Amino acid sequence: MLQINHLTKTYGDKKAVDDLTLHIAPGEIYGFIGHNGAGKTTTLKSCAGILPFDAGEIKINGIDVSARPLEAKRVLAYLPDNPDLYNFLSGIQYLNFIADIFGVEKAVRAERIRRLADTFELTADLAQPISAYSHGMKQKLAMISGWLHEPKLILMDEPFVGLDPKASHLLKEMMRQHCDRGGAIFFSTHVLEVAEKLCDKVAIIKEGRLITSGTMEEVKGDASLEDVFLELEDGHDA
Amino acid sequence: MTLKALFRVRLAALKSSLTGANRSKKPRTKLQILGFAALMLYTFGFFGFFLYETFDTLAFAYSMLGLGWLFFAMAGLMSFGLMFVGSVFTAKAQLYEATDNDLLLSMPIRPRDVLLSRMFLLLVLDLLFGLLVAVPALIAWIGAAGFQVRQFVPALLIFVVLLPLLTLMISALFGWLLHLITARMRNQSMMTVVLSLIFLAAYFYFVSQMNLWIQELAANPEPLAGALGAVAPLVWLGRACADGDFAALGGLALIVGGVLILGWMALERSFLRTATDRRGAAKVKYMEKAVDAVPPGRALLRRELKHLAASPAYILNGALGAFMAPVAAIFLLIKRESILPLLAVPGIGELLPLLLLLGLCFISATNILTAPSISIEGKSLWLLQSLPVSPREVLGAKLKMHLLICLPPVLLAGAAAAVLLKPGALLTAALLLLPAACTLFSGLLGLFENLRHPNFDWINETQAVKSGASVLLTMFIGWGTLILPLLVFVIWGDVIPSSAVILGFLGLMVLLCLLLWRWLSTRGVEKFRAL
Repeated sequence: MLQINHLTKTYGDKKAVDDLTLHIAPGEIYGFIGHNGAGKTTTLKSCAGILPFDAGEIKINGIDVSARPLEAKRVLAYLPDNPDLYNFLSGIQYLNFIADIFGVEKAVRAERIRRLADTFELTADLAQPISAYSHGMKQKLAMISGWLHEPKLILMDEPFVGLDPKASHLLKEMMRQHCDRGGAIFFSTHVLEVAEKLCDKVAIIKEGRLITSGTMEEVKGDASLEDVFLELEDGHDA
Repeated sequence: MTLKALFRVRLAALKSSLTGANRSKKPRTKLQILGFAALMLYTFGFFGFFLYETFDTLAFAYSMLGLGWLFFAMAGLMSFGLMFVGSVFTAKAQLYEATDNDLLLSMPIRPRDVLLSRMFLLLVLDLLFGLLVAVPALIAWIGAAGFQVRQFVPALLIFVVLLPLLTLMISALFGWLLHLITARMRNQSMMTVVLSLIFLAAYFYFVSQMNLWIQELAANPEPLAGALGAVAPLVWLGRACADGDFAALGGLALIVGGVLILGWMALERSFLRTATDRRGAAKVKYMEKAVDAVPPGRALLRRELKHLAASPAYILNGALGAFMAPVAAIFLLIKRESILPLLAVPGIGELLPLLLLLGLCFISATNILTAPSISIEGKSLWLLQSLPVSPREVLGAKLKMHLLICLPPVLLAGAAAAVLLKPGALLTAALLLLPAACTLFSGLLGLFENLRHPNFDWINETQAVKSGASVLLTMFIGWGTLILPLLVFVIWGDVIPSSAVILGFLGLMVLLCLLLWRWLSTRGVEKFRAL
């Protein structure tokens, strides 16, 4: 579903991502772990077609992100860590805008908006301007918009930050259901307990370079993911 | 210490919005900064010159009549009016609706310091507006009455210190009032637009009436002098400047000081509550309704229009010409009988159609909706970049919004001019085509300049809409192009007929539009991707 081959992205002299290769198959929830500034967001933004990169190749469902960006973007959803949405729109106007851009038909979008907004308990607030939403409500709206066009691949940057426990639980269920239907999810997180329980595979990145990746069992064995992460980080330093 | 740090942050924000680095992290070159400084000087020179022309006539008349105090009283009123109109809505946005208020208030900083640091930036803005009037007024007076230190020192104190401080406090108090009035309104942006237009109309009415007052004064000076003389602070202002009356200066300083103390007490007490008040409009419960599914291009256009409708500062700064055009159309139709005879006057008859056309083009060039349209995407730019829409579609939607809002009013004004002049086919076509071409040009130029000078580091949308190189460059290049046909006519008017000048200018506009279109379709698209 997502193939990242030898991705390199530099900001000035600094290599934010250095020769990163990762493959994510349909049905997989893939966690992306690393310290602040390790290159997680840069990788996710490159996959989403937001950031141009210097070298390497990213393919989504076989579509090259650099060569055919619009086609690639049609099959993915990207949810950033800080959902800066359009404050001048109401929640429902925003969802309709997203549905229009992805060409979701009227009847289909109405059913999906109803179902997803009810799931996240946001229906009553859909007529409110987004400027009046709390951070958590904006997160929920961004989630709904992400699922609205039923993308094949969902890219999420720290999706659990700002969500209340119930919404967090719902999101985990939705992520699993999405992958059970053949979709894939690639997300960054600092919450290692969540990653440990939720992810099929995990990759650890440090200073732009991949330290390790594989199934959860391959990466952590009998230890906890937190211990492995700290050990790998320290070991890499040494 | 804290206050000093806050002042530094405010100055850094101002510097960044005018000359700082953009998202490419590349700092502006010295040449770019010098160019920007030259543009600012040109801006001041442009307006200053027109004001100087007015003051120059006044200064001689008033000094001859011994009414120097009235000259300075009127200059003071004009300065105050310009500062107030220019800063009152900025005060509302910057003091009470800045996005970093929460961040600053969470720090160990006294709320009064936050307020004071924000007011400091407003004072800079007031001072700039005030000097725009004060400098030409003082130059004109010195030219007419000669330079005297006794006059100059009080005038400097009044125009550079007392008046800006007084305006700062009054606009901050009005900003507070406007915030309280509009906070719970659902259509607060429309209300703000209406109030702003009323303020602007009142100011322009005052300035336009000044000429009538001058004429009346020449014939019978007592009534106006008497009317203004009844307002003691105005007399003190005038006497301090014209006669070097330090007692009057002291009286004025006491009044300004009183307003400052009382105003500050009211603002300081209420600031924390007002800045953190998040009541918003009354909650509307969502009722599911059938919606129109539209293609991406129309969805993007709708988004642009909704963004515009939600931002009074964007409407007022970007589409002022769209409000001016219908007023011009109505004015032309009402004043038809007074204007028509001018067509028969030798010299004026030939020039009038060209001047009317250029007037319409000036109104078109005042519309600069696209100039801040990329900057105001701010932190939500990621959405347009991650959605399956091409940069060409995004830029196209911004241009369409500009044309949709700005084209109909100038066409209406062009049609009114055609009804007035009843010209031949060529001039009728020009009255419609040339303002349309200028509107298209300003739309394309706005996109071009904003792609070259984007500014995403703002804490309030008003900053992105009002300041920044792209806004100023678009407006002044737009106005600057209008000088060309006028120069051609003035220099070669004897050999080149005005119809040829008009056609030549239309051709130039079309050529510039084509060049800009080509740049936007190629390099512009790449620039947008790289933002």
